[in-house]
Amino acid sequence: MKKRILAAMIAAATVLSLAGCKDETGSSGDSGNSSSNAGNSGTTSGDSSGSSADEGKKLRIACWNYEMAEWFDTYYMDKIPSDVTVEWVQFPNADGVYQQNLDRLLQENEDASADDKIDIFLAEADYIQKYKESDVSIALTGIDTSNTYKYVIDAATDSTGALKGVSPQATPSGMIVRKSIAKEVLGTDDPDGIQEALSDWNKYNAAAKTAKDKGYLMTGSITTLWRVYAAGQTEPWLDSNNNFKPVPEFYTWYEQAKDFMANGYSIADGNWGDEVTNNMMKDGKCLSYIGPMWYYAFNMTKAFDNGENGSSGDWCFIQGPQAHYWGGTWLLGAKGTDNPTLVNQIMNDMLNDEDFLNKAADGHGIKKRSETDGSITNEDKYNPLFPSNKKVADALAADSSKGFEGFDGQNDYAIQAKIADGITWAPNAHTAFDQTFNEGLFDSMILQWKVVDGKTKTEDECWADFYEKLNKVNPTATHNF
Amino acid sequence: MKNKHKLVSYAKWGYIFITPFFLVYIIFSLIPLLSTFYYSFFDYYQQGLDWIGPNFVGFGNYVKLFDINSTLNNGSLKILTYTKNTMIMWVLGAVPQFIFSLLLAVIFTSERLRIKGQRFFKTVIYMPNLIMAASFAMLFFALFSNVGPVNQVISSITGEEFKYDYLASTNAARLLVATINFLMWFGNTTILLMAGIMGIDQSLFEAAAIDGANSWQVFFKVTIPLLMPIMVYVAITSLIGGLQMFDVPQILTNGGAPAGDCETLIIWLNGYIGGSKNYGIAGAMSVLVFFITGILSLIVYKVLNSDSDKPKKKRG
Repeated sequence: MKKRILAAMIAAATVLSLAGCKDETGSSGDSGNSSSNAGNSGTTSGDSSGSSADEGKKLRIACWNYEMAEWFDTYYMDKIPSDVTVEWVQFPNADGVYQQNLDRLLQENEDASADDKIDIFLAEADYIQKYKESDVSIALTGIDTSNTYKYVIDAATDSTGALKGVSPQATPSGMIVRKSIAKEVLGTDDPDGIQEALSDWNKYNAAAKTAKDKGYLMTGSITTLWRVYAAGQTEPWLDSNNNFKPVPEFYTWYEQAKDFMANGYSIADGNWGDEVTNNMMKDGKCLSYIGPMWYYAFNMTKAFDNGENGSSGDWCFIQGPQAHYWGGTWLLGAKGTDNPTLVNQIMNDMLNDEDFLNKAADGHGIKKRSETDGSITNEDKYNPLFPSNKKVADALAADSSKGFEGFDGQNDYAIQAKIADGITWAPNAHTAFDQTFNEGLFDSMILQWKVVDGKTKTEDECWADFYEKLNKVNPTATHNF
Repeated sequence: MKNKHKLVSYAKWGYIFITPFFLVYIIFSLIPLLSTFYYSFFDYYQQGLDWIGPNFVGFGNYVKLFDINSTLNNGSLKILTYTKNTMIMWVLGAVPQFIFSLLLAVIFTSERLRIKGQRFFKTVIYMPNLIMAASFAMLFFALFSNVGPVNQVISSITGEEFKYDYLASTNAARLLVATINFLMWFGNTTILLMAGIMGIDQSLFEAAAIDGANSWQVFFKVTIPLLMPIMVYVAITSLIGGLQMFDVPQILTNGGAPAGDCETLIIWLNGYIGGSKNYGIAGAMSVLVFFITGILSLIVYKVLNSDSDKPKKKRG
């Protein structure tokens, strides 16, 4: 009897585990569930009237997080035909996992069955170059780009001049300054006064010394500081012979980083280090952080939402020494899509649907998606965007009723609209491997300051650490300089 | 005549019954193994979104792995670094595991002690092996984070705020990896050693007792020498598993942090599969791991000097 029960249990377990292989939408061989890096997918259906008869009934969008999905869920689903299901296929961004899976999906896309085709995929500023120059993305036509910030369009335009992607958001980045510390260090807590005190790099470096003297840190992580310089880069990291040579801006950063670390102006950790985040809290010692709207909406929630222990309202947003951008999410049309008309409609709306852009820009009351399985939860979440549409952005900037409470009611759109105007995208400064340079190189370089068991790496060891990363993604790259 | 006919018929069924195993083995083990050897002689990778190769390069990939100035090594032989990391973590976990398991096996099988509730204890010590290594690693990652329960408990005991970042220290992180492997595999080893001890003829122990041998003498002069075949088996399977260590350090230390000191051979290899799908280099690395495993197993076999069964795969 015992054996029979055991046998029944084993059989049940086998059947159940096989059932688990099948994804929720029932499509076999789903990208998200095969391979070692299991992805998630969540589906929703549209509200608008029926789609054109000859197009696919499933719109699949590849993404690395649910930021875009949440804007879609809350404000855009009514414009998707009711018989079309939208499915978000998610893989994590870290360590290039998203790109590895996306590459495979895109290469197989034309042969995939209608319901397995990727129709739209998302790409970040660090790797949009790779996808826009490849024929895995389709050229978009008939898109009105007249109101869009030029750099957003330039970033998604390939070398032949074809537009390959759009983004509802621009990501003008600046400095997020702790006002109470600024009052002590810079003598003012007024955003304009702080901007005046940090308006160029000399003033910024001088302020770092004052901050240190008064027992504060100038900035969270020096790897983040690179993002300011990166946006001004005019040469690519790799030359036409696939040889790596640090760009001039790197050396500017490196000198400053050495100075900052030698004097203790910053924490020896990467962008997302615990100590970096902890210094945003009530007893935090950090004068300023660098980042665009997504940075403080995602990464500073701990400081903004924590009441007594947090520091909400004690911050303000300024441009800092140099206009720059950091990140950004572009939507690209995948070759082989079976929803070309719908894809084109979405692309145009992402740039020009003022109703959608205004609501998404506000970012309050967004339906939160679960980070573990991508399902829509009942929770609300603050997930704002700075619109890529200049007209919408300027209206928000001029609206005195707009203000972010974490910044004590300061209108953050106003500063960012000014920064966005000053951003340019140098067409020849990008490579397919920019994620390895902008993240990997700097994570390697800080190892010379990061103490592990009382030891730090030498400069040569840091370079070797980076070269190994480069060799993994780009096996033929050399490094002679 | 009738008998012979029956015999042939049984043999046929025997082959039919073992066919599924060989089919599965050929498709999922032998063919991948041979193709790994094959592709290790080719340049075959992805550059951005374009596939390069396969182009035959002879021993080119092996030369790259051993050329200290290649763009793969950049001044220090990576294969040595990662073999060292792997072996340190294996030894840290395996040596205490052998000693502890041997102790438990001897206690459980002792005729003198006759421990009660043996079944219960055997089940309990085998339990950790049923948990996935990934879950174990995640659990430890949470327990030993710098704001995790372990630090909180220490803080509440000492009364002072204790904030040690275990995973930011090479020694602590390696020790944690070894601890997880120890916890996961000591039960398995214990069961194997117990089986070995119970396989020893009980009359030998009795004879030793009659001759006046004390417990130590029985252990070292009777149990250990007769247990050698099983010990060799346990040591070699654990070594093979140790060299292939991947999931625990990958998840616990996020691929080898701090400063790459927990990066094992397989994590290193995986980086080449993930980054540029570099089947050539990764193939060459796999072949080298294959030979390293073979050589080390031979050494273990020679040192323990015994004629045991052929090793099967086991991790530890």
